[in-house]
Amino acid sequence: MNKKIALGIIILILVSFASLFLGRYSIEPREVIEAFSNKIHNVSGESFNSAVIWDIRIPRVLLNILVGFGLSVAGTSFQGIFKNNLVSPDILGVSSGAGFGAALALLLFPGSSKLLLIISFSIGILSVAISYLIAKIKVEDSVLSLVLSGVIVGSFFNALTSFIKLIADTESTLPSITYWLMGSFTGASMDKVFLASVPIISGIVILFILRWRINILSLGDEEAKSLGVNPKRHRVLVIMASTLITSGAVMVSGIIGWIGMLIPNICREIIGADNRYLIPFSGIVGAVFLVLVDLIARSLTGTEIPIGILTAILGAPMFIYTYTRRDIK
Amino acid sequence: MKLEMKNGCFSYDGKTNILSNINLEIDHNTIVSVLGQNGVGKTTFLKCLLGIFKLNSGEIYLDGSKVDQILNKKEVAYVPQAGKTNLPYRVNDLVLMGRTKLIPPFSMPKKIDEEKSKIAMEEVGIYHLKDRKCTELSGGQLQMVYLARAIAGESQLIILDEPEAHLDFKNQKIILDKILNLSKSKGISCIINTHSPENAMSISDYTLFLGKDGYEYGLTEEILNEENIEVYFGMKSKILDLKSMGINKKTFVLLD
Repeated sequence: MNKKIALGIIILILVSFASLFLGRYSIEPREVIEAFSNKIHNVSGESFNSAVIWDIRIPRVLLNILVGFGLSVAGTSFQGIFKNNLVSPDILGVSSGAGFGAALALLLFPGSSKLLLIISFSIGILSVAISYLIAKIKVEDSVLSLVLSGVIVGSFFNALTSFIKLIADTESTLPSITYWLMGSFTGASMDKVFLASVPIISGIVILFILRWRINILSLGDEEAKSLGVNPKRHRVLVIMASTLITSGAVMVSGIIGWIGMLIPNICREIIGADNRYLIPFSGIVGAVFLVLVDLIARSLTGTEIPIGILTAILGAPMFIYTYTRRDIK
Repeated sequence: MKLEMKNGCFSYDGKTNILSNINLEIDHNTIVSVLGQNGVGKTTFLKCLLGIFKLNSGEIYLDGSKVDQILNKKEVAYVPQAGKTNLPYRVNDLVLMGRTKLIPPFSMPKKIDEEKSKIAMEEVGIYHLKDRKCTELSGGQLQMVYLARAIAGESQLIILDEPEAHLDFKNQKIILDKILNLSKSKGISCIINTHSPENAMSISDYTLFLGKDGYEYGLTEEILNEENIEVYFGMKSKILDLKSMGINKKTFVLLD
């Protein structure tokens, strides 16, 4: 198990480094190393390559890793507590809420990127809080009520977002909303990295600590209680942590689907269902996946392909393959 | 370890009493069988005892102190009925989960937990299955895994809900023997819901008969007899002592 995780980490480092010198604007690996050593030795004289690496590529790759790792860990945890491998972190409505927040910000405060971050993050958290509160009203069957509330709240915010698209200015606002909703890492900056890392890393740490108990929650409420785990309390913690991660990810990169659902399923085939290993491994594989996909997104054509589109196009066949490979003769 | 229910009453709808004023006491090193017809409330009784359902009136005491529920206490372990499972975990991981009550809130299982799980699996005879996925096991094997999980937690009271239900009679004997051995060698008490008076006769010290209008709790030797089978099951039966044939067993036969 640990060997596979170690291998994953090595691949992540290699892929991340490669991503620094590949792209529409190619840089020699040698120059990347030079840029690093210049920074370390504090040699001044910024070359253009250095700027590309430090101001554009490194923040971008760091964001890829944060978002990829975070969404995969969140997805794996949700699949555990909802006892269903088709669950994604969006199931409680966080992406719909954050998407609405971003659309609202683009409509009302088009110049301010700070406000967009704050509003989309807040409404993302708010939508999950609403789902949770609605579900609490139902005394029995906590998991089913959560899912139902999440679907309802998600649809509600999707509808509001559509409304905003309807009244938005079709020359500038509507395209920016549409583009944002498809997910993208353009405009990655170290500021965004620092901002996003607070909720994302906090959420990841909490889920790492809880990963053994997520195994037990996946057995069902009664059995979990009989093994000494309070299901409601732990579910709340997992939901809070996953929501922090997903809101943090959506606020900086828009809605990137499939990772939270697909990566855990692929990793489960490789490393097994024990969340002690599955959660870290999913994180690493998710990070590798997103670094690679973003590399394709920004290199394939002149204009960037929104990454949400690529994860969906690549995700669907990958999922079909994972799901059916056992039975392919 | 002493578990008591005092004046336990429970009803689902407020009109029909499932449990009426039940008083019983279970000490350490005791095996209790719960017998009764389908729907009379055996599982309800267990759930009330564990605290999953709240008694309408009456109390539960563990070692002298009143408790709301005992399900999450480390002295108690629960062995569910082993149906077909869709849990993709390995046997080793599932047994390890039995240690959770002994693992501090934000920690992971450590070497000692792996050790104790290994011992539990060896005692039940399934260590050779430790890397198999639970989805690939037969009903009997899975039941053994649940039993090993309960033992790994080092609890003093194990509550089993119809452990022989899905098993063929050879596996039934194996699991009952294991329960008896473990109980006698470690002083663990067991409460077992069962449909088989014969199984109850072979391993339990005490028996609880549950009926629509009442209950009876006492030493198996004394109360598991033909009269009570008629009272609580409405069936005529004969219990034969095979000592005269040189077999130290009793057998139970239904009469038409």
